[in-house]
Amino acid sequence: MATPTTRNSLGDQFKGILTAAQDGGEWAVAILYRSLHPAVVSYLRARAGDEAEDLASETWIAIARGLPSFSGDEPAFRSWVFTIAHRRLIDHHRASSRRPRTRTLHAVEGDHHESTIDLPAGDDPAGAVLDALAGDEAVRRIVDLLPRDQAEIVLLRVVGGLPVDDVAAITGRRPGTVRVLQHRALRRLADQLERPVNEV
Amino acid sequence: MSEPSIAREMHPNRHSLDEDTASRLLQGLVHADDAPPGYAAVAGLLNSAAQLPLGPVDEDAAATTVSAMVEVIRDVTPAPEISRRKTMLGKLLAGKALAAVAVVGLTATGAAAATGSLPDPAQAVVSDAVGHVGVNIPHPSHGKSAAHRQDGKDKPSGDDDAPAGDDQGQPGDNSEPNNGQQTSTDAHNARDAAKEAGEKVGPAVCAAVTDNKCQAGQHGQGSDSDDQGTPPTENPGQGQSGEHGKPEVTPPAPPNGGIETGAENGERDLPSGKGKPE
Repeated sequence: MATPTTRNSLGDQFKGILTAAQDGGEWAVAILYRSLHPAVVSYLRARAGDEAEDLASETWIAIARGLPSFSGDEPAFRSWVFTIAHRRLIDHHRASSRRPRTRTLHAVEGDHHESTIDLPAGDDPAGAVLDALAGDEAVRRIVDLLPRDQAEIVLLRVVGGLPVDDVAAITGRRPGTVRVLQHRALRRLADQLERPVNEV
Repeated sequence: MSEPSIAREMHPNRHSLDEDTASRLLQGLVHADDAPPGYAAVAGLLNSAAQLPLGPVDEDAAATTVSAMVEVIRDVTPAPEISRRKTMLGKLLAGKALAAVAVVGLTATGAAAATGSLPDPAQAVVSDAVGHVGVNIPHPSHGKSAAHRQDGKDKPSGDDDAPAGDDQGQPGDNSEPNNGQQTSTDAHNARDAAKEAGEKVGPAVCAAVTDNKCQAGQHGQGSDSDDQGTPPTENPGQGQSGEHGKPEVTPPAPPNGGIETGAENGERDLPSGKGKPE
């Protein structure tokens, strides 16, 4: 049995790192960035495709503007980061609706081959690349198989690691609605994923 | 009936997910082997998706973004720049405020000194100081005291160097305003009354102005002697001529020179009678 996935959590060190980052400490800002950037990019990539990296940069700059006045614990910080990312995504979609449509990650079959894969920094680059590919492919499947509202909730919960209440706050829905949507999403995923297997 | 609906009805093994299981699936905490029946593939997919945030980070992009973030944070953080602005503003305001206070203070002091309203020591210092450059400012030892004493309303201030009534007449007897004028009037009245009554004018006047304490004319001859007094040669208006040539009782000194007023009227040579006046 595989060990359950654990997320990048700073734990008790978060408060000191946050304080240092609010004072402009580059090392602390780098830690906060590294702890959440992959999740943010993954969430944005699922909805904005190739423009995810640009949106992520805008998101982090917006985070930097509000960081000196932020107060809260690590879950609150994570929720705040994804709230900003979600708003950047909405702005991106509004802007996209006023100009010619661009291709997204799942718009064209095989488009994911063009997306960039972050280079590994650990001791096992090949394993990291395979994990990234596997994770990226999993996110792509989720987005392909689910309606937009359900996919958004699943991504915020799975990729962002956010609780129901935070997802509800970010998406502007009630927590009960979020629970209903995530149940429907899981059932739909189960239907879609098991059908080919049964057919095979 | 559509194919998915038929497929859903053909999954009798699929359990309905409870809240906790659904939450664990969405957190990527459920392995495919431990997933509820019918959710093994979902568990595997969500587990893989949840591992994505643990993926690597592009170092170049990270360095660039972090540097930009630090720059933004330091620009947003207002502490040094705003405090410097406040310091400059404070310095400017402090300088202007000090200048304004100095101007107002000098103007008020100058006005007070020009009108002689300063306390006497300060007034004396200012008067002496500006006197060297040719500016005339009232000095507390000139004019002011005389002006105050002229109406008999000299303030009992300890700052006054000269005692009240010290320049003319007797000290301490200026409790009544315009005392000298009253004495002069009394002398005139006494003289007129003595003339009309055919009495000696000197003793009558002396008695009037000294409240019957006059001993004019008693030149060492006793109080019951005849009228052989010698008219006083000095200070006749005071009616003083004692037995030993010294004034025994001195009439109150008129602050405004009431005696002199009588002298101007030709009453300086008032005769002084002997014996006690009536």
